[in-house]
Amino acid sequence: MRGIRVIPLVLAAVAVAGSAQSQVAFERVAAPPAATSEDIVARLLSFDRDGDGRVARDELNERMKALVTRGDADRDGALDGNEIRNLARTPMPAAGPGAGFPGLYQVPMDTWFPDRTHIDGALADLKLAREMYKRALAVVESHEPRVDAVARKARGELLRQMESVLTIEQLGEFQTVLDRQRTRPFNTIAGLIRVSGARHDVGTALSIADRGNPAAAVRQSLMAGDPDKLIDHYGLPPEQNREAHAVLDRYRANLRTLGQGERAALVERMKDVLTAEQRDDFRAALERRSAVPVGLFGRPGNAPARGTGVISIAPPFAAPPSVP
Amino acid sequence: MHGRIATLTVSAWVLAVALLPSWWSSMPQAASAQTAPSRATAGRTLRLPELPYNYSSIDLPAHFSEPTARGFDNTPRDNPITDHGATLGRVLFYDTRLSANDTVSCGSCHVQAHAFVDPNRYSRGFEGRLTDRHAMSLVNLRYHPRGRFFWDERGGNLEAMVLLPVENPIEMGLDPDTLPGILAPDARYPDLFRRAFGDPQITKDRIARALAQFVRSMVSYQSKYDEGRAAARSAADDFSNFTLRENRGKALFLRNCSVCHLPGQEAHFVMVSTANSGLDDDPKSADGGVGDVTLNPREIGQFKSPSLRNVKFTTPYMHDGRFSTLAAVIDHYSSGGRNHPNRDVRMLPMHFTRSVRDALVAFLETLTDTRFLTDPKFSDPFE
Repeated sequence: MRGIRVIPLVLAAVAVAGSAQSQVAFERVAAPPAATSEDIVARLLSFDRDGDGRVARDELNERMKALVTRGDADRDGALDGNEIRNLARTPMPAAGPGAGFPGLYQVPMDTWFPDRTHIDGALADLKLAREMYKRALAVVESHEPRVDAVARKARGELLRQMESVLTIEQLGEFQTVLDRQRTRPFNTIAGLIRVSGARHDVGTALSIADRGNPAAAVRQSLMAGDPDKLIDHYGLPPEQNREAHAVLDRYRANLRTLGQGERAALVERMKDVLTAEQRDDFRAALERRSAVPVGLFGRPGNAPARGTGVISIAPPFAAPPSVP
Repeated sequence: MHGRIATLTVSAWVLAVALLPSWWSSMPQAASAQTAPSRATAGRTLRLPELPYNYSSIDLPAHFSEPTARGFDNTPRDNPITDHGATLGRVLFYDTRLSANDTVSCGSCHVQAHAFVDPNRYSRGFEGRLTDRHAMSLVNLRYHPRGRFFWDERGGNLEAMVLLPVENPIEMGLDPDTLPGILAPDARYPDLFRRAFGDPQITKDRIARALAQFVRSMVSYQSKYDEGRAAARSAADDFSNFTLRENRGKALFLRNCSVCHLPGQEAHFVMVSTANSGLDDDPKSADGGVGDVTLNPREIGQFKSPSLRNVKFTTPYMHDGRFSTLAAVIDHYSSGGRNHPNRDVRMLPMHFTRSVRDALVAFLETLTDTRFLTDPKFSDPFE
């Protein structure tokens, strides 16, 4: 328990000790609540200059005047609150998948240490002279056993704690999911997928697919490499479920801390190989995550690629039809 | 009382200004095949080559011709680019008679030397009023695969889009339905239309088609990047004509930016869908972009991105021209953008160092195509 209390302190210490750019990697401030149709209503009503509770055509900018044409049900030349709500509830339909160019990409998840591909890419982007590159690569390779040892220890601790929460069979599946995460350290897909013709975000889509078929849900979680989802599908008693998630969260926090330490250690070991500027670039590259395209564009509506956790999606937002 | 007099005075002036061109054009003019008739900008002569420039059969490099890149072409079957069609479109593009008071043309705000953007943040329309968005680059519009235009994609295909600025009350202020009547008295137009469409009839539809052909013909493909790419096996290889910094910038671009800006091929630096890059964080008060058109709350703050070709010259950047340098743009992406509810999931903090930023700028500058920026076939034919 003391170790768990120490983690936030260590995180804070690392954050303070580092430079402005070595803030906790992968961190993006949680998004505010999704915009809703009420936001649309509020936005349109903000154009109501004369305060009469309606938005007249001449109160809107040129681009938005056509909204009055679309939504003015009582033909008074303006949109009142109800008309705006009706418009917002029935947004213009997306005009199909948009030229067959869906966006397929993965966003790296909050891994504790960059995988070898990431590190090699960070080194390659420095455009080092051949000899220097070979020396830098040698440093990376000599660092790997240490990273592996740290990871094994953390994972061992995680599994030990999970033993008191999961059955043997569940623990086996849990290990499989962890292994999958190790080899495929990407989040599930950003964007929208189609389920039965309607578009949903990924989480909702998976829930719909899972409905009424727990075994399929478990398989889906295994395929997607999602340990949180797997825990939820086991239907554990609430306290056990909470404890399992807490163990997982502590593991991740531990890895984040360890990862920062290992990244810093690796950069430090490059002192005799790279210049200060190159080390700074290398460090920033290790912390950076970029969305990765998943091969070439697929076609909308493809079935999930087996075992990869990648779901082929239709383009996030298809082209709207012309404004009348 | 004073107010009424003032109103009447203003009305009289407006009437006089409105009637003056009609009166002027009714006066007999010296006939000249090369001199613009009365309603055109005074003293401008139209100069066209004897044989039309080649717009239709340009020798594109191989990376434009690989299958995925070819798929980006939005040229419709019923309006292919022809040399005469694009020539007519070029004349129309620079003809100030497409504005209500004969003062602005498309070329007034889409300036060739600036890769067909306005070097000012906002453009002045025919009455001197400012627009509220930066004039988008027209470069390589042919290769926007969704075939939808404007920052908020409210324009449908290019044929539908090209006349929207004409009728916009701030930009050019002219009812496009009146265009045939305005252009018909000009003795040169029937011949231009005949060459382009087979007969001299001037219609709004043909005006739109010709403009679209000209705009689609604006293809930039001879940049330093294109030369390097042509000599390499792939964009990932170091280009022999690049400096170390430029090659480094290219590698960084491919790793961090290409997922959006060079998707699936190596010729077109365009995005295939609109996106919210976190320029603002308040969905209620900022420009709503696509969301203002569709009223889809998830599309608030989404905008189209123009091609990055010639981006060195398309400053200022973004829909409202808020960034005046490429370095500022890169800093925006480096930060991950502001916390808008619809911010694209691909907008992650990049933590670019200064040297990374400089390398990215160096690479982006290799997308400059000097030949395109000075090619006379895209220039103003009126002297």
